[in-house]
Amino acid sequence: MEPATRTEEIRDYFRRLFLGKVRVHSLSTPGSASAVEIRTGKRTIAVHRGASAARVVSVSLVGTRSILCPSKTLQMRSLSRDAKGIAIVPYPDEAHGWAIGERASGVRNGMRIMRVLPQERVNRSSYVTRRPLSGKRIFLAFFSPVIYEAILKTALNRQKGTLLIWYNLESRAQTPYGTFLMKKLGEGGGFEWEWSRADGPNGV
Amino acid sequence: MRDVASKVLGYVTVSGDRGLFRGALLAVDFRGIPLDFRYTEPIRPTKLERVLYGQSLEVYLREELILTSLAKACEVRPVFWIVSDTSLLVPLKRVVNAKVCGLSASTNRPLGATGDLEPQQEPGVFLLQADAVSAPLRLYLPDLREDEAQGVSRLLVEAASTMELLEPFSRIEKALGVVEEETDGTGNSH
Repeated sequence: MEPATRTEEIRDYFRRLFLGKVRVHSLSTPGSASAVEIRTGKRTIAVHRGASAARVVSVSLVGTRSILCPSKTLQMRSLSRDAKGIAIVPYPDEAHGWAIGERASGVRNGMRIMRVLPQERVNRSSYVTRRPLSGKRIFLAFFSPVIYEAILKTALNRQKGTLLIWYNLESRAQTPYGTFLMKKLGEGGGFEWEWSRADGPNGV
Repeated sequence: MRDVASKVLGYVTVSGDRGLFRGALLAVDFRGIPLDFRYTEPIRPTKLERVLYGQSLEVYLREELILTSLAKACEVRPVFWIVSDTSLLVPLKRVVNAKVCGLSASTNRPLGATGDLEPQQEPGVFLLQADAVSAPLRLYLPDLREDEAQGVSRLLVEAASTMELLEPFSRIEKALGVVEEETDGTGNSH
């Protein structure tokens, strides 16, 4: 037997032996790939001449047939028997497919969460040069800038020593203020806030 | 009267902690009031993908996929974009085609006056005294001429008079934390 024939026999033998035992996987399959959806509102409008060139026809040739639209609100009168139309084929306005072999990143709108989160101001007392007159008070903290007229609610985070501010998101106020947090001494005690314009001549 | 409500700053973060990539974008007006907030679903590359694509996978995910997706989704047009991770400066600038800077806190002593801009040894790095009652900020402005850098610093000083410039980054973190709590970490609701 010729060596070449022998080799072919061996190859056939192994082919049968391993038939179906080797599987090839692709990196990503449509089942696991991200769906890609393309939408577009833009269309190219192609203008086709649907009728023959305008010409003067005798009265007897003017058609009187009407095309009744399903809506029964619009009637079109055909002007000429020679008029030829073309079929209007609607193009699909959506295309669906699968991103195979590449990743897609879904972006989500998180404004629902962001709208309710407060802004946070850190204590800037170490940078304040002009402190309010103390009297029977102790100066504790200074927070700035704060748009005072836009405030809905504030809260002091005592653990972090920060001021949480919820603004009215519809407000157009924009004048910045700073606020001093003072502790009252003596009976009753308690805290006191003292506001001052941050952009004024007497700003801190 | 200046209208701080009509000017918009864009803040962008991209994180890749523990092999999980996620990005977020917050657009705020000059008072810090949010105008748009977008975040990407977390992406965790498989081990096979990491082996196949190596270092280029992270670059692709952060720069091409996340940044591009966020910028396209944003419905407002910030006058200026701010990042804390300076490796995002160049790719973000390419994507948004607008002015971009890196901004971070410093522990330096306050400079002489509000608006002072002090060049540092590293090219494109400045200390900016954005307001009178804080430490100067570390400002990264690569590939900008000095007059352009001055223009950027004026813009930031204006914003700093009505908002805290670095604060939106912590709000992004909090918002992503809420998203994590609401979902199982993969973007799917519980």
